[in-house]
Amino acid sequence: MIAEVPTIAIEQVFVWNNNSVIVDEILAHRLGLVPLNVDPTLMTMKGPEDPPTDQNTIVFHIDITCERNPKAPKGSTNPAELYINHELLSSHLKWTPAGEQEEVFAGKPPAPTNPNIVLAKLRPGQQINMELHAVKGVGKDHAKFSPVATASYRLLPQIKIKKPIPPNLAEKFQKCFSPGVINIDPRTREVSVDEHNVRNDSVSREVLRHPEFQDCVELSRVRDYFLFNVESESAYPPERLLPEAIRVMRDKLAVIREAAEALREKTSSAADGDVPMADS
Amino acid sequence: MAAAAPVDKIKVLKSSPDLSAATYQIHDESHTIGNALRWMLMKNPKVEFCGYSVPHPSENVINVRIQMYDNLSSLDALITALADLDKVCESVEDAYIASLREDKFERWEERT
Repeated sequence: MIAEVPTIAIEQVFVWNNNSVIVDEILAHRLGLVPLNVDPTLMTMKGPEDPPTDQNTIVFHIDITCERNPKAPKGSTNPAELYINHELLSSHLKWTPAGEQEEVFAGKPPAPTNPNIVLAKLRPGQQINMELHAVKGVGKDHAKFSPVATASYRLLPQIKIKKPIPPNLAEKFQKCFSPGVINIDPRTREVSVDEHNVRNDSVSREVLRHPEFQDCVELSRVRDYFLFNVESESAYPPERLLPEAIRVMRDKLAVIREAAEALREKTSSAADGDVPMADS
Repeated sequence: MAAAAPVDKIKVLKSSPDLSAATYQIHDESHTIGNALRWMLMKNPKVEFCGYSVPHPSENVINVRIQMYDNLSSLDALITALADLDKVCESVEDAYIASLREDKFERWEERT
């Protein structure tokens, strides 16, 4: 999910004019990191030698000039009142459709997912005029293509109570775990593990520090129960990222399998059963 | 980016004369495939030994070593493992989609 699920990001920036205080390469880098709302399945991967087409490239333009606001209130020190266009925001990226793109992206015109990212600050007389080319890529090439902010997994914690906990220690026992993990029966003061909330336990092992709870509990993990934590940062809704990651994995397997079957074909067709081996 | 000359996805490295024990060099793969494939191969009772390594972090290849019992072909075992791994992926995907369709999950959106 982090490194191989593809997304769209700005890869090339053509600067026609930029006399702002932020230099071209810094601004280009900032532009590259802007998450775009384009569904990656609608585009193809652009190879290094491929010419840009409407299938593999999305073009944006930026043309912004900062001016003095003639209607600014007297004595104001607020740049938002003093100047027009004093900030270059991600909402200033204007998509220029090419070829069939107008129909393909009709439902959702390509734009940054967040329109309020400040990319540069301007003062009167400063101007930025650029052309941006967004392409499809994967996170192992550059982190800007990564579809997630974070993606991690952990195993489901398992808490086994092996000896009944004395009722006077029930509260103390409960406090050894994350909130909601241990239930205390209000009548019998019997402690039990909450089936649904066990997953919230941090497995801090606090309970093992107290001598009174010695041999009372066993902390472990369910070895085949995975909890994924995915924070999407792109066009994908988070629930779609796991299937996408699985698809990438299956594509890889298919490629290797094809190569392995071709290799088997080659070996069996050689009459003497010799295997073509590479020098190692 | 991609190399100019096309390279073989799988190469058999010099080892024993038949394929009962062989090392396969898989191009453009890493621990993602290596570990899963080794795990799947080890599930096969006909496999005597299986291991993988990334020879050097800056070379984008993995080496998978497979040794078989009874002079069986390690290439067949590799292909079976790949097929089985694909089936595992498929069933995980199906189970996930089926569970997602039940629509019993929490949705949480961060306001900016």
